[in-house]
Amino acid sequence: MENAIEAKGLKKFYKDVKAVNGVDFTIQTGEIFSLLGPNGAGKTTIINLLTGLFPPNAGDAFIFGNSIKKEPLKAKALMGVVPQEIALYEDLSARENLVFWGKLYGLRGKPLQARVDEVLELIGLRDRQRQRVSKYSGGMKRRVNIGIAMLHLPKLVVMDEPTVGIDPQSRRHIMDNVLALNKQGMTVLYTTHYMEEAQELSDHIAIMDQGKIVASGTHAELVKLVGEQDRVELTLSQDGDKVLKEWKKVKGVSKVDQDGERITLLATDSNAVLPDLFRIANQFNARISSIAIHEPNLETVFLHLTGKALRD
Amino acid sequence: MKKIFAIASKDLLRSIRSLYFVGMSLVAPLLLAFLFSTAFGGGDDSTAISNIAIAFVNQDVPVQSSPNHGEIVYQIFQTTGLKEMITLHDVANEAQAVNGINEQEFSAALIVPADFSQAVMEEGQTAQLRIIYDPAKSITPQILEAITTTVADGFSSSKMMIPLAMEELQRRGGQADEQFYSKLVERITSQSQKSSGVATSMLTVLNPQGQEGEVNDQVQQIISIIMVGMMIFFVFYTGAATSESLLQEEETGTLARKFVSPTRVRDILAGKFLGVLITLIIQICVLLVLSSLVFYIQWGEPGKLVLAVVALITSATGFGLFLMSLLRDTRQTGIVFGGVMTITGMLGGLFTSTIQNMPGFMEILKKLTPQGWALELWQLVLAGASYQQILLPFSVLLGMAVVFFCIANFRFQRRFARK
Ligand SMILES: Nc1ncnc2c1ncn2[C@@H]1O[C@H](COP(=O)(O)OP(=O)(O)O)[C@@H](O)[C@H]1O
Ligand SMILES: [Mg+2]
Repeated sequence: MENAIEAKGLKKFYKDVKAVNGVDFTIQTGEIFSLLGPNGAGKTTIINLLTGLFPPNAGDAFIFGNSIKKEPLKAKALMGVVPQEIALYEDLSARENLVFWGKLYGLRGKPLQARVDEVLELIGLRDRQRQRVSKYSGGMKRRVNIGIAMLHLPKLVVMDEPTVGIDPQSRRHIMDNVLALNKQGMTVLYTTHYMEEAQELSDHIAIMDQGKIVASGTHAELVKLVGEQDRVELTLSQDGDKVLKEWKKVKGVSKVDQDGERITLLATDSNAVLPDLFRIANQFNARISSIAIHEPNLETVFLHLTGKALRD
Repeated sequence: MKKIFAIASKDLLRSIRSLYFVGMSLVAPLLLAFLFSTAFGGGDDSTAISNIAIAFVNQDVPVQSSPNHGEIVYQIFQTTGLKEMITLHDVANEAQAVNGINEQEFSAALIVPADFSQAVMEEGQTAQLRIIYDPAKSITPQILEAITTTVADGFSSSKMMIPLAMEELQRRGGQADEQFYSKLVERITSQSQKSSGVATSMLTVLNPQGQEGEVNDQVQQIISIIMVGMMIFFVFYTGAATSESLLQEEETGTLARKFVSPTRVRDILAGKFLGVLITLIIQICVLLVLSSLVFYIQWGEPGKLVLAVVALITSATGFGLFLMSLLRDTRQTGIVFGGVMTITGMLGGLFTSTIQNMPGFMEILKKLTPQGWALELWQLVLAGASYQQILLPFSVLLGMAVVFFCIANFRFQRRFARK
């Protein structure tokens, strides 16, 4: 079957930032593909290139075989796009917003009204469709933001961090929607910096950092990359520069990352290294006030690949 | 094409829904025109132009045994009709009159020069009645000027006719004394007043009970001129304000969302531009209808009015888009609304539309702004000028509109095509 997206050698540079620095990937039709990466990794820039908001400095992307550079209108017509920032007319009602955006996707008349009704049902806003968007909660706005992308029943939906800044309930609602739409055959490109979301939703995950894809594969494939390493998270009550230096030397400890008092490290066998960690901390009169050991997951993978924790 | 209309009509809906639009585009110009015109003594309120206090300085030195012609001027202002509107206060000299004007005691002064009688009586002599006025009040001097002009005209006619009349009377054995002479001058001048039409129509306002429902031309004209100035100002203002939505939408992400929909950049821009244009069409239509209902303004011949509307809305749209295309974001728009619109409006003469004979350099500055040309065009249309006369301001405005529009289009295309 034809691929939904093929990105080839995409680059986008700003004055002093290489926002996207040579990215290749393929999204197969019917799958949920996640781009996982911290803020500033370049996820939104990739989405903007794929959706033709601006052209890349190099490379091209193909949406169901249509070059976004050469046949932008064809390519755009096949996608529904959910921008990261809510992009709605606050002074119009949900219904008016949907009707307007539906027209931009070529819908007219009765079919348009019918689709608007369906989407309002889908996003659970049928009862409040005539109210101005400015009166909505953040979660409701997010849902309208997503609903717009569904109007023309696209084969591919591109969602840029659709769950940022909303309550857990709305988040759940959105994720269930994504899964349901995918079941009906919609291909989904989903970006997030929450590894739980990527893990739960995705058939395929690409991990991004600093404009590049550092690893890509199914969840199982990615986790295999780190081997038998545990991720240990500690809180160190004192300035731990010297402690950290010594910890790095402990046999079995691979990566150590620090963010204030929070330390994250990778260890082949956490049971074996913990006594050494405590001993060293004691030597420098530093107190370990909390400790948690995690089985390998995407967070571990990210730390393994980049030496940094994937933090919010 | 359908998408262009979808964008434009969405923008129109948003404009009409905003209180700001209704306030700034429709209420403000009507309200201001109303306030200005009542301040100047217009509207339905006829008392507003009654009892205008005028200082009267009679320096006339009669020649030989002729009557004091200054006195005759005074008498004329005492005739019914004028008497209710204008009260003359005898003042000893010009300095005192100016003083009175400065102290708001008088709205203006009418000066009869020393050689006035001589000029009236003798062949080839000229002398002028002078009006000194408070520049802050602009209707009073206009009314006074209109009346005085007819008075002076009357004197000019008298000058020709009276010697003949006196000669004829004497030949028939009648007595051509001073009283007879004054009476004659008075009647001729008042006749001349009536035939000129200006003063007579003014009387209808003073005596509304006699001529109910009739509209006063002179005052009407002034209200329409004020209204034209206000309307042009606020149409340009609204042009800029609705163009601002391009910057707003760039910031709220809705513009980007349009760009990722299967819609061409040029169609999106065309839709936005059309939205501004349609908004202004609605605005101006409402203003024209309301102002003709409220102020009884007669907007002139439909064909010319359409040309004036076309020139005004296209230039206001072009100017607004042009200004917005120069700005980086909406934080900078204060410069446009607080500064550029007001300054260009002022230079264009929109706030001084009732003052004729502006200094020369002001006339030149006026011609540098689209508002100045718009004002000229609309005043010509109001005054019933011919198509030939309105051709120049119409073409200049349209030309300006095209230039502004092209620059704006170029800048926005470039801005949105490549980020
Ligand atoms: N318009 C821009 N001008 C300059 N730098 C930008 C611009 N947009 C994004 N960047 C930079 O590009 C990098 C990637 O940003 P972005 O794609 O938004 O990341 P993400 O969506 O993963 O958080 C960041 O360093 C960001 O600061
Ligand atoms: Mg982003």
